[in-house]
Amino acid sequence: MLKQFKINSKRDILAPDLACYQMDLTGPVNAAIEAGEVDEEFKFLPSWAKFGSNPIKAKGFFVRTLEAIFLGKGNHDELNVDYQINDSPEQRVAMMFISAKNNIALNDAAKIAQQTLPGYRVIALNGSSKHNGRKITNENAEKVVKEIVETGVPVLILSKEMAARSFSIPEITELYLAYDKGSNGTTIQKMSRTLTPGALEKIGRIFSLSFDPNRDDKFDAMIIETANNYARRSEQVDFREAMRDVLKTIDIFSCTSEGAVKMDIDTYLEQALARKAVSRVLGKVIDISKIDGAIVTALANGNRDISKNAKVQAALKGKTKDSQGNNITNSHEDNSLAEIAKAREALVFILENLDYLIYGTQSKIISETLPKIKSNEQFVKAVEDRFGINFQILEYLFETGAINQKHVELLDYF
Amino acid sequence: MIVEENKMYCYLWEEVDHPGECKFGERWVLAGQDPEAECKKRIRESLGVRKDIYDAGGVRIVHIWDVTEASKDAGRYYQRSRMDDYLREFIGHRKGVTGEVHLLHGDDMKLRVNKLLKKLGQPLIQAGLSTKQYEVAEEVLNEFKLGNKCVLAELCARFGKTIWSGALAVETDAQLIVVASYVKTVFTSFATDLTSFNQFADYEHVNTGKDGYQEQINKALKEGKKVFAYLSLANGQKRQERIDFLFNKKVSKMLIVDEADFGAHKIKQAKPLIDKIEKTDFTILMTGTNADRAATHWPINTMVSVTYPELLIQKKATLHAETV
Repeated sequence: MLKQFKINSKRDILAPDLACYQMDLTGPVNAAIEAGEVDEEFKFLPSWAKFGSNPIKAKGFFVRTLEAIFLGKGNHDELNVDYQINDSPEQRVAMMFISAKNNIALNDAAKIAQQTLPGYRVIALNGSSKHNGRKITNENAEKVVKEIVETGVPVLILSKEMAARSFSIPEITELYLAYDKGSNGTTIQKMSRTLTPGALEKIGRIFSLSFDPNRDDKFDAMIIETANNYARRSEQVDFREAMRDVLKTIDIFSCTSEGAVKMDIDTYLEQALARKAVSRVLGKVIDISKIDGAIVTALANGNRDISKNAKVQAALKGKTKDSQGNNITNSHEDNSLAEIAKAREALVFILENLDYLIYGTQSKIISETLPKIKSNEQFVKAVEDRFGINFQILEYLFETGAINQKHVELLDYF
Repeated sequence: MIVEENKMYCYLWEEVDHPGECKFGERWVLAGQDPEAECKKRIRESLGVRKDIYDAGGVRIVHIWDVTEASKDAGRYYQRSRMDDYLREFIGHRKGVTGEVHLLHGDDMKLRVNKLLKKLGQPLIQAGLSTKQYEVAEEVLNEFKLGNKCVLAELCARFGKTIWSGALAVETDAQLIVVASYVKTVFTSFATDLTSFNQFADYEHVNTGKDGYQEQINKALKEGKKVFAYLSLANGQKRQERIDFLFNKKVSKMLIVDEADFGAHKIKQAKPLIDKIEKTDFTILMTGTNADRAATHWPINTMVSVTYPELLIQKKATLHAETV
């Protein structure tokens, strides 16, 4: 209990609500292909990266996409934003983070957008664009956009990286993610641009523009990390319940020609598990600080020969708590960021392949598997071959709680 | 909020398009009125024929103060008492001799008014924490009690990191709080946010980038005050000297690294502070995202994390509780 501070629950209600939409770009892509407006490469496997390498080459696709979203043209109701949100704001202020190879490509995309959206003011935020003769910088980007917003016209802000941080425009109510892949952290940072408090009833709407919505995992990290935190803080709630509670709070919609359809919780979970998003995110949220630095190195390097490594042996002897049961700092001074990233990949791989342990040992739950493996040399060898790490390390990860049993329960769900 | 007795309020605003100039004024608020609504009404009225600037969102209301006690002490507890003019005399930086406009950035002016009111004995408002801020503060304080002195805090946008970490500083009773960042705007944010609240009334705020910072810190500590010392992590000749000075102080210390994934995560920025970690009682690395990157070189004991949807879950719970 805090001595000098009390809870002021009025502060709880200041956060704007959030709604996430998955938009399927198949419609404008196919239309652009049929009209011969895109090249063979884009036609074969369309992606934002390909668009961003030369927007002018894929102009037909982009024009059709923007027209469908903002002007409701082309008979692609699944992209018509007013139809999807069932509203038509007086002044639309939208921001789009878009894949662009460089500033020139971003400016080209902005030119196309400006030509396509008469009545809109399109602004590209990057170091090579200007506003009223002023070069746009990270420092003045917010001011520049505020000036434009004040004119009262609909605004579309395009950016690839700039303004992803410390950029607060309350009027931004729509945020479009027009890229294929990005780190979870960067995506969450970009999403936050629509969460600056504005009107009390503000809803920050985030649209993921995807060529393959079934594989689109941009919302997954936020949902799964939240469920993880929620389950950790609330002893009564298991991971599955936590996921359900989170999904009750944030609406995830699938945009269809019949309007936005709220995604069913089980369907979402099933899809997230199918695209390996859950194991990937759970791998990401494993608290590396709980794992000894030597073990991190061993995980990163796929080190199976631990008998010669004194540091690893010391760590495996369970020296993670002192006599009072307190955590001992696991120094990672020797671990580089690249090494930590590699170790995370190894952890994700373990989580993705837990079924191998369960089915291979004919067990029902993961806790049954480890003793069975330990008592069977063949199993140990098979596990080490599969995971590329010493079995003792695997045991260590479960025994120290680095791999959380609650996570495993969720992965066992389907 | 409706006041139960007549009160004197002061307000401060600036035009979004004209940073560097701000208007400080007063409003006598009658019992039964809402001070915020009254001040806003007055600000809009004062724009005369250019109310459109206010209506278009061109006005930023920097802060509203209850100055009732100070006005009583100054013999100005009545309508149109020119309490604002009384206070502005202490502040200075006026545009013209009699003008109500000050040639200062809004945040700078706010800081000066906070300091002045503290000096005049006007009780500041009590800072309250959101439910989530409170919960996570408790969590970190428990970790500190367990001896886990270095905490990584991945806290989402809109969590309110500044007031939260300030609350931890108060609760741990640290005498010297070093706020280190590669992002300089962090310092303004800390100083302006914290000085508005009563719990921080006895803290001095010192920018170690300015001459005389050592004397200021020494004097404050000698007087039994606590200090927030702002330390830029940008590489510079005097950075190490500042770090040595701060961490050699024989007082209880808390280190707060803000925006820890931005610049501050690089070895050149992190190492000089990590070298002092043994001399630091509590360390908090704060970041919005990219916790791994933020923590690369630090001996983290434990981690806390809050995502945006958690704020929404709490919002829903609070609204539900209000309606039941």
